Amino acid sequence: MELKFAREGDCTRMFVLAQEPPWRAIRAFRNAQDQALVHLHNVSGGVLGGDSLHLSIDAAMSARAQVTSVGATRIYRRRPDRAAASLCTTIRVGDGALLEYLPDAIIPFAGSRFSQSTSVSLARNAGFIGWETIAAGRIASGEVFAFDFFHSECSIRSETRALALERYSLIPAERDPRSAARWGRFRYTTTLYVCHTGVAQHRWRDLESRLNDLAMNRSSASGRWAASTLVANGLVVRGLALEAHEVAAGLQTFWSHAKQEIWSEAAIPPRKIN
Amino acid sequence: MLYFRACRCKLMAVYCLSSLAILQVLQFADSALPVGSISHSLGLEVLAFDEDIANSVERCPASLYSYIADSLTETLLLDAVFCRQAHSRASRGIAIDDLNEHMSALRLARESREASLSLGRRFVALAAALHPYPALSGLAIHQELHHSVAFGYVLGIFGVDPDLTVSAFIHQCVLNTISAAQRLLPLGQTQASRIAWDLKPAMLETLEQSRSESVSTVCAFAHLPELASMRHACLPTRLFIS
Repeated sequence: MELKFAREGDCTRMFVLAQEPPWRAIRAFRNAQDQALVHLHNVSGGVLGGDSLHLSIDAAMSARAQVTSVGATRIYRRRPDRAAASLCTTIRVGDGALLEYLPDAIIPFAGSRFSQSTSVSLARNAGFIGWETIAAGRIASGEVFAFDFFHSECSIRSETRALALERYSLIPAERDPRSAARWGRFRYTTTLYVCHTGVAQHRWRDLESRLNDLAMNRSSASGRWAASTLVANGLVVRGLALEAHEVAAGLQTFWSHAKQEIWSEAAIPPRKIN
Repeated sequence: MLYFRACRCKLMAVYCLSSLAILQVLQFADSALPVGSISHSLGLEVLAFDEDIANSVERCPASLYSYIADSLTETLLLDAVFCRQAHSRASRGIAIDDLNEHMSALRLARESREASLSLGRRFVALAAALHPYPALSGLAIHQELHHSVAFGYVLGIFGVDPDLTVSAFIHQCVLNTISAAQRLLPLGQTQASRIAWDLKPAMLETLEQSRSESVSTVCAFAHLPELASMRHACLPTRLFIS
């Protein structure tokens, strides 16, 4: 799927440049901040073995968009005759634009093999807020770290340098994720990136301090949170939790505060169809 | 006879050079090297505070051993690969700015990132003060210089074998972690030495893996230690800078 968001007058319009199954984007809604809100549908209900999915989002100059999903991304068990599933996401944010990429959690089912890469490019004075939550499996069904393979790469870059890079492979059968050197005793890991290439570093340090005050208040035996400035132009919030509801509530809190501090705007949760 | 003497002299020269390199490596890899390593726990202080590493006398040694052994397949492997790449660049006279930028982007936790940069700068400054290589003086002016990159590059300038360089760096990191643990956890001297001793095979596995990985392929998952490093500044009392 290829989406482009472009500013036209006082609103942002969505253009669907390409759309192939299982992807579907019906329309864009306009929220109270004149952002174009789009829900990405996966009509197959999840990611199947052999799927090779591509998502491209281009927020052109001064565009304002919020992209979300309609439910958790389920990574199904791989069939023996199928290759591992993959998802490649490319995001470009133009000069003066703001893109919020807020998908639901990823749930790798037992026996699944999945690889994903996410690449975010920020122009000058571009803003990006994006989060990702990964579950250890179908926790309620007793599936914890029962997937075969989960590989993830993420890069966020400005015009001049890399701001954040992550690359990891989880192979529970070979390396126990429950190690204190990896996941610990938690069942959900979540990451929130808040980036703006037009904001001075001292403002990020101030925000880091305020978010860490919040994080200490939110942290408990069932969930831990913390924030840190990136090498430049942004900040990352990391969370580990035992329960999904802790993740959702925490992300909302940090997102709200960060958006208010950096953009002087409220964070409007995407209206979900369910 | 003269040929035999020439070969023997050459062998002795090689032996002496290798011995010098070993002595230099021993000094550079000493955990007491005055670059500030002793002041950084790299998140371990928080892991101990949160009891993610067991703090009972009975369970602490095994818990710490497991933590370090697993770190050797994640963050320490990452450092080893960058160390090796920097070493390779030194021997070819190639700049390392991109390596440092890459590492800065990978180290998401600010305190860990700043610790690595501080150690890197101080390490190079010390090396430049010890030996007047022009390349070292040039390196010392870099502001963004990570510890693993600096270590690999400096030892590359000195002509130290790459495997020896990487294994020395890994060993130093492990010993520093154990040293920090002794100040945070109920871990005796003999137990600490036993952990360092028993981790040697794991260190060699990391060394082996560092040969086949590159900075663009090496993977590391360390969300809990990373989060611990991010939370470090919020601890009520702190023994360490990071």
